[in-house]
Amino acid sequence: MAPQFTLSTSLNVNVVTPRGQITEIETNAVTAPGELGEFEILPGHIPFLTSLHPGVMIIGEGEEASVYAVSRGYLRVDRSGAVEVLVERVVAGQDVDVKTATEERDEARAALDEWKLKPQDAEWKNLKDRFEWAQARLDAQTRA
Amino acid sequence: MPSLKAIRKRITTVKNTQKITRAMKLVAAAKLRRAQDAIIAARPYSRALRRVVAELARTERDAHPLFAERTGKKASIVMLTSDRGLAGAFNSTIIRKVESFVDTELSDYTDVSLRAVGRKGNDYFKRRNANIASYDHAPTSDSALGLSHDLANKVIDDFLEDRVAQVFLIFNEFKSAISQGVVAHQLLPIEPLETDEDGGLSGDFLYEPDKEELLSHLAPLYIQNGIYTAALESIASEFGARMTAMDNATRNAGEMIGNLTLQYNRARQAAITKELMEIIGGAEALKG
Repeated sequence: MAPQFTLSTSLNVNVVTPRGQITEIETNAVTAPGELGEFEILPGHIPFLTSLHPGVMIIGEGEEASVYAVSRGYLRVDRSGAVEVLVERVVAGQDVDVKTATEERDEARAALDEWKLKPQDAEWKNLKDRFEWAQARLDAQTRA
Repeated sequence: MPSLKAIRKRITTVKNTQKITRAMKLVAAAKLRRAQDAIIAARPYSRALRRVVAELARTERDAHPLFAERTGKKASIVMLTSDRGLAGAFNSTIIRKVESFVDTELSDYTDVSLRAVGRKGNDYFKRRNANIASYDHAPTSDSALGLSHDLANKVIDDFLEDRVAQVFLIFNEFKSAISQGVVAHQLLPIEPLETDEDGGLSGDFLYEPDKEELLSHLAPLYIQNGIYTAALESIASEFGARMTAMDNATRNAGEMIGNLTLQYNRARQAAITKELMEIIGGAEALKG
């Protein structure tokens, strides 16, 4: 028998973090921040695995879209069209504490500017991650 | 024999101690429940990440430096203890395990540095002038994620810069509220991962960037998750150990109060008898 291809009309998105499952939702589009730039997944996408960079993820389209800030992790589309988003941290755009995030970003940026020519070791990497995560939260807040 | 007043004072003291130990037991029990919930919540993430990393590593293991065996005479141990005591043998078993691990398994290494988490472990090894590379406070369920992130970057940097050839993680594994066991895991190099399923990634999967790049992004998350789950286990174990210790202390205090009350009553009766004897003796003397 020839393989059957059913063209799915929606995406089942499952967002998982170390603190537990954040959301599981049927939707028609996902926009995510890939390591190589922002991309969009639509129903019927081929099986796919990519790593995510701290940034803004949008589930759904138009009025019903929900905006999240995500940190490092991966996005995987399997053969059945299920989308698994596995990230270290997630926060919904409207829940972002702008004051804390701004403080964290400015602090990390100031420390990174001080760094200059010192070797880029783990300390530097931790600062950079902190900066990127704070920036991602602020971006998500403005786009929410 | 101590005076009646002294015994009464003693009983009050023990009763107050018992109140404290009972309260500590109840607090530990409530926190334990929350810590167990955090462990359960972390499982789906661990499972999914492990599956994907295992799948990527199957073909790319030799290519990736975090999986490669290194030669060198230096190792590092990440040790998870607590900030506070009164948790039975929780901290001392970890400390003993670290010492025996260094003496036996790591006896070939010329230099073993410690990355201490928790004040108790840090204090002990600092007094003995051990090589402590970093020290962090014991995490709570909320701060464990940030701590494991920072620690993971540090040990990965140590490893990639050839400062250490192996990294181990020693912590209390949570089995149940009354039973915890110390375990030592190898964090780096990452040991081959076995999966019972193929992860569903074989065949016509599209990888972006390529598998090797992906592994460089996801292997650090895997290390971080290893530390994170260990930290959660350690937190739950601490509360479990404290609960058991405080339950025993409460029971011991109860026993002590019983004994002291007996002693108190005996002393009181002796005093009454003595007084009666004196009255009778006086009456007899007047008669005579």
